[in-house]
Amino acid sequence: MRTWLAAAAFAALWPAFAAAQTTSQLSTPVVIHAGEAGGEGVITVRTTIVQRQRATTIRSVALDDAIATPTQSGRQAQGFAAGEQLFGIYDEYNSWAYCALRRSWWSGDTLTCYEDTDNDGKLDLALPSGAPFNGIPFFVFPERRETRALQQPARFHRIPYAEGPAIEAALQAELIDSRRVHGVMQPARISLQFGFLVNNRFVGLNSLTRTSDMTTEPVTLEVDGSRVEFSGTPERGSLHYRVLTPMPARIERILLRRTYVRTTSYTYIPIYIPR
Amino acid sequence: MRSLFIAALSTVLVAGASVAQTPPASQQGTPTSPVLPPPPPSPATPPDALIAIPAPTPRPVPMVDVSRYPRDLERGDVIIEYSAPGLPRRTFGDASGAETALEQMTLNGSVEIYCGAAAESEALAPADGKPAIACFSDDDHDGAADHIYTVTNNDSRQMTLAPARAITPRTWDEQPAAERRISFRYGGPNSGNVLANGRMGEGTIEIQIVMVADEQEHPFVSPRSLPCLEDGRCLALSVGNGRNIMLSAPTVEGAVHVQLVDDQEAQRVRTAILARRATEVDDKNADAAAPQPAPTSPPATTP
Repeated sequence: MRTWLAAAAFAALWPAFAAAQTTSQLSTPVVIHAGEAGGEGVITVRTTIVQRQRATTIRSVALDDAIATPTQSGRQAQGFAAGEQLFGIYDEYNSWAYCALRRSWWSGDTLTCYEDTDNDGKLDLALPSGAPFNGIPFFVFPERRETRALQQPARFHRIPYAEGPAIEAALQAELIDSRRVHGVMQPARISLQFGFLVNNRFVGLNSLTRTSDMTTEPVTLEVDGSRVEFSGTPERGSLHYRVLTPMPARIERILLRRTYVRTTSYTYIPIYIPR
Repeated sequence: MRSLFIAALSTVLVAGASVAQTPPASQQGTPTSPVLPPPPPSPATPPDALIAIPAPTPRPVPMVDVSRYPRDLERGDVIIEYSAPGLPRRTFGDASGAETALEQMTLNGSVEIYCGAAAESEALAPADGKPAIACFSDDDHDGAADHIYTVTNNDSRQMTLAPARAITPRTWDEQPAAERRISFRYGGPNSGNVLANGRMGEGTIEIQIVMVADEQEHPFVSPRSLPCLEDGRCLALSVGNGRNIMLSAPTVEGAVHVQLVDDQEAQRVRTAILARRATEVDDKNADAAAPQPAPTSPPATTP
């Protein structure tokens, strides 16, 4: 099994006496749906998305009944209407939580998850999800510190996973111009990185990147089964790309690492580490 | 300690070899060749280090009800269950709520010690959260722990301890061994190709080894990964007496088929998986040695 690391760390603001613990956990499996080859274009800016493919979790459900807006204050500002879709994530070793994204009035996008604790076909428990790792909605874990029983359990049914809530998996090319280092001219470099698009913002997985020096000779980079050819003069506006092979339809699990600082209660804050 | 026990049990089932105890005569035909790459080596241990390993216990007995196979499973469903006698235990009479019962382990192959989340004294036990795991011995056999061993390294197979240090004797009591129930459950797909019919092709699936002992609120869960072939057959779990449990046809949405197969079928799948791994290694080596492709003329760009 391939593992990709989504890095998380703390800013150096926590009290020195706090003890940090780091744990790793695999995400719920994500399905990268099949894409099409043949996409091509010209690199005109430093970074360019060269391939997009649909991604879902392996289980999706749709509500048969509405879930009312909670009356007490909390992270969830809105309810959900009948017909809305939720994506499934692993909870305990033998249970599922179903989550959806809502914009909160105070904290931006947040997720709320629900469970059918008695397996009667009705969601009866709400749990906050915590902040998604690097903002990617599928990479969350249900939290049991603030559970809330639903006064009106909501019926739901499974739908084909491919039809459920989706995000985009993507390949991003980055062209680093040639530059002089210590008086020596270094060639341009082209890199190809796998990641996800969140609100059209590329979130790369640092461990899944391939890089090559770029001269006037074509270069083919392969990342996660996808092959992209780069050719032409290695300058913006002149470098051409062509997707020879898209990412094959696959299931993958992402290794998520989180750091706890223990004071009086556990909290975690994933922060994207810039490359 | 639970992780050590589960690691030993999963090694017995999945590798079919390297069993710590001699299998009883009733278990015939258990495959002997290792089927998975060996686990990574432990960090280098000084020659004079104290090593604690689980105390020998009777081999767990699988509860194989043949009438339950074949059938289809979803994530979380039980594949097979075991009953396992627990280990002798001790508890401190003045233990705080956060301190756990101490389970018997063997030090350097012969010395009896007891290990668990406990402090040197009641006064040193933290008010919130569990204390660190430590081991204790009663060297004068007067019913009180009089030496403590600090754990310096704890992996899935053994603990490395610092030399014993004398402590103010702390009275402890013998406790009945807690019965352990161990179940192997299907954990769902891990990674692999997705086929057009919703099945998963070549890849890996997850099984969860779930252990619950008496008085325990939350089970101890340890995941394991099983490789699968393109045709959907996955590495089988040996349960002795020439029987193996094979998971097959995993789907993307988390279903799988489970059935009993004989040793020959289990061996065929194992051989095919090893052959595939050898091919993958050869391909990687070949790619690393391959010459660069010949240059081609760049296509005309579209204005």
